[in-house]
Order: sequence, then C-alpha cells, then structure tokens
Amino acid sequence: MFRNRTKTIVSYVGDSIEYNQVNEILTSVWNTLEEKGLGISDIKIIYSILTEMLENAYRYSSLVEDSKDSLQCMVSDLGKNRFQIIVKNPITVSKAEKLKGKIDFVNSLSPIGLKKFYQHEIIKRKDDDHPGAGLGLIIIARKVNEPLMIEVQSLNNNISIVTIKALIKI
Amino acid sequence: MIKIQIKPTKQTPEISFDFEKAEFVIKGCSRPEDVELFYGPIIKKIDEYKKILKSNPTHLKIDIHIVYFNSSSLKFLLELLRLCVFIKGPDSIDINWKYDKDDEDVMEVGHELSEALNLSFVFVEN
Repeated sequence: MFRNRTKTIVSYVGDSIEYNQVNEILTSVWNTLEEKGLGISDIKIIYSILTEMLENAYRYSSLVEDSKDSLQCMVSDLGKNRFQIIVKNPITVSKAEKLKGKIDFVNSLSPIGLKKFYQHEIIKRKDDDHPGAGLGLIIIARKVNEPLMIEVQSLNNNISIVTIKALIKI
Repeated sequence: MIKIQIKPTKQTPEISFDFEKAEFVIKGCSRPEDVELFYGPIIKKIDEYKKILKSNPTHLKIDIHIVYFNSSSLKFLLELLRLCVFIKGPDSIDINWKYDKDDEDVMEVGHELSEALNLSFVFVEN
C-alpha cells in the first residue's frame, strides 16, 4: 500500500499578489520549516528560492486584469527531506520566451559552469531594466538538485502564463 | 557629524555609515520591495560625501553582517562596495564579513563577493 507523504506548507491562489502577501508567505514558510526542526542553512535554501520566485511573480502580477487565479504558489514537503516549490504567474509573451531560454541554459550547465556564470553575472554592472535580472535564476539553479521545470501557456497574444517548478533535496 | 542611519525592518537592513569615523555597518535582511529606492539614495550619499572619506587618513572599516540578501540587493551591495573601493582605494578598506554559525550560504556569498571585488575580506563567525 502506498501512502502519500506530500504535505502542503503554503498554498496561494489569486488574481494578483501584493508585497505584504509575499512577506506573509515567506514568513509562514520560514516558521513552518523551523517548527519542522530544519537547520538554518536548509531553511535558507528553500527561503531564498521561494523569495526569488515570488518576487518575480510579484513584479508581473499586475499584467493580467481579467484573469482569475492567474497567480499561484505552492510549497510542499514531499517527505524524505525533499521540498517542492511551484509558482505560476502571468508574464509578457516575449519575456516568457526569454525566461524559458534562460532556464534551458542554466539547466544545461554543470555546478562548475553555474558558478562561473554566477560570477560573470555578479560582476556585471546593474542594468536599468531590473537590477537582479538573471542572477536570481542562477541562484535558484545552484540550490536545486534537479533541473528547473518551466511550462509556458499562452493566454492571449500578449500574455503567457509561466509555471516554474523547483525540487529541493536537503 | 555626517552619518547615514537607517533602522532595520524585516525586509531591510540596518545601515549605519559614519563618514568622519570611516566606519560603515550593514546588518540584517535585505529584500526591499523596491531595491533601487532603498539603495539608490545611500549610494548617492556615499558619492556626495566621497571627499570626506578620501581625505580621512584612516582605513574605511566596513562591517557586513548579512542574514539574507536577495539577488537584487546583492547587485546593489556590490555596487556600493565598488564605489567605496573606488573612493578609498583597495589598500585602504577593511571589510569584515560576519555570518551566523552554520550559515554556509552567507559565508559563501562573502567569498564570491570578495572574488568579484578582488579584495580580501576578514571572515568572522558569530
């Protein structure tokens, strides 16, 4: 007999997300992981991945006005020290393509390649568009144990819905 | 007294920069909603007071005790440190990188920033 060991730590579904909600989700996840007895280093791995994913979703959350539940976040404890973070959010079609390209690229790199790419990105001067663009993705990729998964669904000619899934083994 | 003093919040670090004493402290968590809005004016002030820093014969002491920095904050922290290195020169800056016991992530970030700046940091475990 199989038993489902997956436990939801946080689940958020909404049309958009406010920054105070991002803070609430992050605080709730931190507290739950602390209650589970995880060490500070392990908590921060999950916390930093979730922060980068949620902040990214927050930046694009105002894009879609008439789409219900276009923004979703779920953090789950899969058991045996494995955790899963899924964030789904609207994004412009062109940015979705760029994001997919970046994820495919970081997934193709070895840990050494990722470190080199991180060092390259960190010394680059901050750009005007968004100061951390790209770096957050590398930070996530360096902390996950399996390739990041991305799914892009077209909502209309301008907007896509992207779902990113990160699996973490601590 | 020329100082920058910003109290910490849950999302932003304590900033305590004393230009006359040449002592800077950055301590806490950094993931401001608008990172440019938080760090932009601080970097501007450092640039504004660069003459004071430059003319001060003592080394610039920078204590950094990070609990958590998001990727955007990291870029600005590096920008801020680059500016300090530019003003004082790499031989006149002492950076103390403090981290909590067992916090390997923050320690590693310190090593990576040290490499990026080509500057030695003193690592202090709290």
